[in-house]
Amino acid sequence: MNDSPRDALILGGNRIPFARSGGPYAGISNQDLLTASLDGLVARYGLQGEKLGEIAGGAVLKLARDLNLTRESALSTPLDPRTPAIDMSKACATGLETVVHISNRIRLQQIDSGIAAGVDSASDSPIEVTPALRRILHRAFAAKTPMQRLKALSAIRPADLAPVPPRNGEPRTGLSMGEHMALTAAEWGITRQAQDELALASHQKLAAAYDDGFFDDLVTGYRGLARDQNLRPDSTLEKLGGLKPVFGVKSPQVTEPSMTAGNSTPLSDGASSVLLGSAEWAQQHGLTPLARVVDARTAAVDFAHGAEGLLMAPAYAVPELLDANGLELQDLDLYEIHEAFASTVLAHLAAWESEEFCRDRLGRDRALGQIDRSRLNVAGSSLAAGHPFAATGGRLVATLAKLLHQRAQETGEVQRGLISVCAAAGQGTVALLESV
Amino acid sequence: MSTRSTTGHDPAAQSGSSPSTSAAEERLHDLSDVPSFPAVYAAALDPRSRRSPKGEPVLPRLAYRVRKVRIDAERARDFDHLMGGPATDLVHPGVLHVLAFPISLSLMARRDFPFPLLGLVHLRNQVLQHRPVRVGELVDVECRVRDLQPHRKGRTFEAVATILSEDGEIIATDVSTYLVRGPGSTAEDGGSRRREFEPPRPTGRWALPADTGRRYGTVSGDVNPIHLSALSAKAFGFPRAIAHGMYTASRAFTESRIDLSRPLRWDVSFDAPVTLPGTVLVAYEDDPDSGAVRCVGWRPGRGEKGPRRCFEVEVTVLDR
Amino acid sequence: MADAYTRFVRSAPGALIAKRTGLPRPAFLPRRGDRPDVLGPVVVLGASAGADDIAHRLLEAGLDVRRRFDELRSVGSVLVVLDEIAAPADLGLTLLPMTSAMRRLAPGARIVTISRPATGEDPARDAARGAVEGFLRSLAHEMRGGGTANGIQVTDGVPLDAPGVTGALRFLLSPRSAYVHGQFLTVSSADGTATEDRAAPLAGRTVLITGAARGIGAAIARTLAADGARLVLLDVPAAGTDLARLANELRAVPVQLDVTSSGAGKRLVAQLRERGLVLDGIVLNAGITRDKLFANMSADRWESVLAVNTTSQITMMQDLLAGEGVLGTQPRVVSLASTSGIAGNRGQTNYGASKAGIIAFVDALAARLESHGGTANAIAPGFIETEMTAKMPALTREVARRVSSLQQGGLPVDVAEAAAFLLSAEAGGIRGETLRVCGQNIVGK
Repeated sequence: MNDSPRDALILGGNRIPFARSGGPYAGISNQDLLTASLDGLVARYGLQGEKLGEIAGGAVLKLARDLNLTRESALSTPLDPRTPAIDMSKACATGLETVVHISNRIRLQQIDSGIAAGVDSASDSPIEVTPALRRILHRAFAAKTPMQRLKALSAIRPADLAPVPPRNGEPRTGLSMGEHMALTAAEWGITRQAQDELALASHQKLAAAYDDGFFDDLVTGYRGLARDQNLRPDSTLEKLGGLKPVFGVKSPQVTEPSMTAGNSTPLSDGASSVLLGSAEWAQQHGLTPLARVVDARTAAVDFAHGAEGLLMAPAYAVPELLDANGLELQDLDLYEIHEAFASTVLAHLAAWESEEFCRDRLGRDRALGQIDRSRLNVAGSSLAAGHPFAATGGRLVATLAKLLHQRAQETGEVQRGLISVCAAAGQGTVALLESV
Repeated sequence: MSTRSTTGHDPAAQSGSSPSTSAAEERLHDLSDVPSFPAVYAAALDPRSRRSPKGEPVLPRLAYRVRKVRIDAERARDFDHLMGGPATDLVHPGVLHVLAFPISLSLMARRDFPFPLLGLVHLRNQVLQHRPVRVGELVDVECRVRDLQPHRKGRTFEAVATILSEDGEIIATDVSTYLVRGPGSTAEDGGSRRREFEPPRPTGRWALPADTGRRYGTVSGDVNPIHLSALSAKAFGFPRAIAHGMYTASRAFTESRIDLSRPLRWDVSFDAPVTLPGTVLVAYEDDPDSGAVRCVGWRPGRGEKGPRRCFEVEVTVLDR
Repeated sequence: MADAYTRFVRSAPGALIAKRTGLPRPAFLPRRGDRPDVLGPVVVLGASAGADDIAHRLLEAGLDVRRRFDELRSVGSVLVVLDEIAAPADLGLTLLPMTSAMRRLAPGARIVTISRPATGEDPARDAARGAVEGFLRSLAHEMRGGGTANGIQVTDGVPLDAPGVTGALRFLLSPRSAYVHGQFLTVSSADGTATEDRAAPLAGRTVLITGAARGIGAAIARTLAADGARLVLLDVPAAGTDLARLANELRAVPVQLDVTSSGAGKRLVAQLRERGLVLDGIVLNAGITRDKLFANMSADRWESVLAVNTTSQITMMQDLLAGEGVLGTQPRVVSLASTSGIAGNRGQTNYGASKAGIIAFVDALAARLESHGGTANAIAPGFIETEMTAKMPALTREVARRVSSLQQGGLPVDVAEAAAFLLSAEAGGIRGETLRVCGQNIVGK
């Protein structure tokens, strides 16, 4: 599917270490975090005073006042203040969608360079007022006389004043994401052991990558954090095995709840950004391209009445992406599958291995088959790093681009990598990267 | 699940006039406006309205009618929002139910109505909607009671509301089946003991806060004290407030994602009450063959107590 | 900028109290931009040909140059050229005319001696040369009004118009040496080149600074950037945000690296190569303190200080020297030592050891770099007002500030100026030196 006029190249990335919610970034706003991430990117690639084509960014938990979050953040950086920005939103896929957006713009020659970014702070998530209070306040604002205003305000009842925290479940089902995943995990028979092993591997691989200096030019320390706060290099299967299940414990259908705080991502704070550009732009700026964005697909599943698992959309998007590019699942050199939960990754792999799923749900002749697990999330993923929703896409893209570049240099062969991100409301975005 | 199979009749066949009461005998009484709930409840609570029917109770052969009732856009909007759906130009059939409900209620609050109003148990509700109703539309509403039947726990009867357009076209009928507790019919007994309920895999969970009844009361106008607060519910013998049955039914309707522009059936049966605050697990099942969406809701079991089914809802598009 | 005490005694009532009670009254130290590069009039003392030559060159530079004090009401700078003295008895002739001028020195005045170091060949001449040191260091204690006195020692055979001598002279006369006091700089070769662009003496040169995110490192970065250098700023990942901000401010290249991590030097080389950066200068500034009396010294405190302050510098230089093409043709290395490494300090056995190690290290490194035309020198800061020293106990901090002849702590920029000088093209003849930037702290030599 590469008949586009030109390549969109990933030139580098930067993120701040991800922190646990309520940790060192407590009280820090989305704008602060995003600005820090962009500042680091600008510094690393010498973009001071540079006028870029566009910055696309977004946050899942966004305050109403942050309506131009990305633009406002960009204005706080040394970038040329005439760099335009756009805010985007697609739950956990926001970060990857911003990359797709910027790369599409570059491919279509609408821009020559851009930054794709994402940020989230569970520590500074918006708290709303009750609908009743909102209506009363609007009425009071619209009042023409002080008496009218007073009359409107007199309608406020104490109960109206209680704050409304962000909804923690799917609006259509009332089930939390974890509960949804617990049902899917039970359906696919994903074991506790397999989940804990995946979580442990995530921690070990992320720690090893940090020790190797892999993140030296991908992460900029912030507020005293140099590594992701959630990272537990010394975790063990015994420690993980000792944790109590937290999801699916209320569902009688989940006979053996297996999802714990150890094999699920914690609420996190963080920001990430990815620098993209055309080949000419990269050359003009003396930057070494790491990978190109080959293609992307999105999918959604009907989860509301239980026809499919909430987080299973990428299981549908990936085969579509592979078909469009004439690839088999096994043709990929690296896989970055977002670890929303360990069971999410495992359920996807199980689905692709399942003849029944691939036949009945995907309408294919046979299963996509197994992948080489040693190529999966090789530098760790969300279970270890944490998952500040909109920031995860940028983390995945920058990590994979650098990995592909390194391996291409080592092997002298073109390396292909897959990114798969599931998102709330039964959505998923997947992308194909290739080393250059 | 099908309400039809348990009741054995089809509300579609009974819209307009009742077969148990010949049209000639029925009187049609025009009300100037839809009565207000508090007034109806006050009347129902009035000791003078207490009646002790002698002999076999007989339902009044009388229809109440209110003409040119406007479907209030704001109310329709608030109703949709409360059910978690988008406010559209097409009216949720639950709005038609609550529009007609006070009219039916005032009929049941009449002195010649043989049963006390407070204490009726809503067993089933069946709506047949032939065409969508638009917000702001003017409709006529006719209400009657009919079909007194023996039941193992007493007797049942139906309150039937008919929604007509200005030119007399029947838009929808809403049949509510109520139980009057009393000496049960022995004929019905046996075999119908409550069977162990085996819940399916849930597809959703409703966390219903304590103010659920008050919020539905505000939108629907149904301020029956048993729904409003634990305290007011206790006054009528309920340990806690219980959710309006039609709230759970309407919410299940909204979440069934049915196309409101099509002719449809909406059948509901109620079992255990949903106490407030409380949690209800729901499971949806889409039947692609019949075009029906079914939803069962239940209280999750806890400890020794097993799960209790609270309601079953089936929504069917009729012109597939 | 000034500490609270200094601010107090500079206020009118504070000055009165300090004067009455004999409390130290720290003077204002003019720094870059506060006054001209050379404060005139300049009086050049000494009868040698070298003295004449220097006087001529200063005159050509457009300065008010005199050979006598005579009618001058105020003296800005005094140059005492003593390159040809043969015996201690020769000193008085040149030095004594200065006595009457001491009270006429302008605030922030400069006295610089130019002499030659003892060689061990001629006892009488060596005694005279040695005497210059004692004279100068004592005179420095008598300086008032923020003035400084320093000396340049030019190795025999190196002419007085060598770039290193000119450069050292320019530096010591300038306000950039505000906190260098009572010190000698040795110019041991005629290497180095005159600086062409005085406004941007480091233009076209790429300099790596370790520990650059904060404190002295950041000050060095700003000063070098102001002098036109292109910078590579290195610091630990945890300091990433500060590093990025500084890099953005100075349009520098940030490199996040823990210099003590294994393979740090090799990773640095790889990153430099990837970006096509060739280093002309390296400032090894990364350093930590973990103070404890030796009786309570834990292995962790000992090892971490040695690892960061000394070992990391050694391995990094090894890796940079081994890394093909990452060092320029005449690399200049400036390493941060400390007066604690010279005189020692209570509670700093680990730190003192690490910094004394550096002083010896740069000497050896200088010898290795000489074949490349490169240099290595150390700077030994005294008490510098930084975040690190702000954490010292208040009383200790106050004492540390006042024990210097200048009666105040130095600023990070003072260290930075010394680094900028040692990195400059002119300083090519200065090798293996440790320049103290301490306001003539009484510790050590």
